[in-house]
Amino acid sequence: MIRLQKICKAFGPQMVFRDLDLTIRKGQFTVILGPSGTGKSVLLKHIVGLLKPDTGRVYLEDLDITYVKGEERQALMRRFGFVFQGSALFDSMNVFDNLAFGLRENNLCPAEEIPPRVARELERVELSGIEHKMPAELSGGMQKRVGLARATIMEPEIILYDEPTTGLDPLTTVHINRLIMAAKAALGTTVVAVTHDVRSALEMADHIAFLDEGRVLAEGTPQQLCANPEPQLQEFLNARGDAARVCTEKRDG
Amino acid sequence: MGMLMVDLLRWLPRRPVRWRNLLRQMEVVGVNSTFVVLLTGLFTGMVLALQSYNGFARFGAESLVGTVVALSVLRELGPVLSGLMVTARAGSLMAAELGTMRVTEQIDALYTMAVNPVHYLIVPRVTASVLMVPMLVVLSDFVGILGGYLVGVKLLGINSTLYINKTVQFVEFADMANGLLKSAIFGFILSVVSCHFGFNARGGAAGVGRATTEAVVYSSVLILVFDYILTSLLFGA
Repeated sequence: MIRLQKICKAFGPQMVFRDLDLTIRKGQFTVILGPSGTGKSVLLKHIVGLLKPDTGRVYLEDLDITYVKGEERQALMRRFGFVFQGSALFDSMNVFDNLAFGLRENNLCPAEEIPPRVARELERVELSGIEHKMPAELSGGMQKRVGLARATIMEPEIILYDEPTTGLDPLTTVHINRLIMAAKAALGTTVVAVTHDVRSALEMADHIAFLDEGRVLAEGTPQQLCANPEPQLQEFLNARGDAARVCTEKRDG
Repeated sequence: MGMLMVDLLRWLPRRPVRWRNLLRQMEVVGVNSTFVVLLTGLFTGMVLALQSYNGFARFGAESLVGTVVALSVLRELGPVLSGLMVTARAGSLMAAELGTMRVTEQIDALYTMAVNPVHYLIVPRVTASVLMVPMLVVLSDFVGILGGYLVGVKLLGINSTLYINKTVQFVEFADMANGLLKSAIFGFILSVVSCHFGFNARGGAAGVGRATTEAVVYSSVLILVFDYILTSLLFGA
């Protein structure tokens, strides 16, 4: 369980969060939904400590991890996986070394087990045989999938996805969503994903938190959210026909 | 920069020692800068001989040209000019490389994969610079003195034996040792400053460009400032 408690954060004069509270339950798929520029990615970075709140606390189970540093932080980060919006693959290494990196650095498995594990992980994201390619040689969608594989290969307890499908074509989006669900099912991971893709969120999430104006404006299961009369939320959910249809189905059971 | 220094000192002694990264950086900082440092050293020695000959000939002290060249090169020009050349070559590279890694979130990725970015990226770069800049300066000192000899003896016709004797008579080992100590400190300065600006780059391509410029400017100025401070401490008032 991850708990964010009364998080306040400002960048200069711009207030991003005001007393934001959010609980992420273990083993669940939580989606953080909201318009662009509401600090969804910033929120994700607060969970792993890439950004620190001005005031407020982040708890993992009962442990206050807001300001954990050094080796303790490293031990903590072994429990997390993070998939970046821009993939953030190491561009000086080929795909194999990108995937092997976390395993080697953290001594997660003996050296001879690394190649088969990398091959298995690439097969899972349907990119077998590209071990020797450099990230620059891959398409955006392929980079996303390699980024995903790089996070899941370390078998973390919690995986955070920052806009996993933004900027991808509809087919690749469906594919990535399927991979995310498969990884969750296989590892029993807690998943937190940030997105503004309403349809994906409604279809995949156990729990949705709708972020607006620096706080969680509404949260609950997809059904609860679709039935929530909050005008900003309804406007966001029904802005596009396909998502609105899913919403109607959810509400009407 | 203070934060980075604290982090650096905390992570410097920690294991594992990343030999691959260290060797790679020693190549980048040392091996790849050799040619430009040699060229700089050679021409510095040559022009020093030319200039001091011009001056000393006015009161018949041409035989001291060798002494002046050796002292200037060992104590001052070898370390400073090599430091500036390594800044231009390797410092700019460090800032641009780390800056790009920062803006493409590769540094954040290291962090989320339970690898400390300071330990992985900065410790090898600083260690390599502290080790390699003095080695470059040894080479630069050698060709600088050689260049002075060639111009002084072969071109300007100073007696070879006299030139060498005067050099050996007045130059002490401490002159070179102090120069090398200074150059190790310059290596530390240029790598820490360059890594700092790269590591904290913000704002895309323009931010990386800005970080690189700042890295080179601040490193160069700090090298010159610390040159004065260290010289006054090492060589007395």
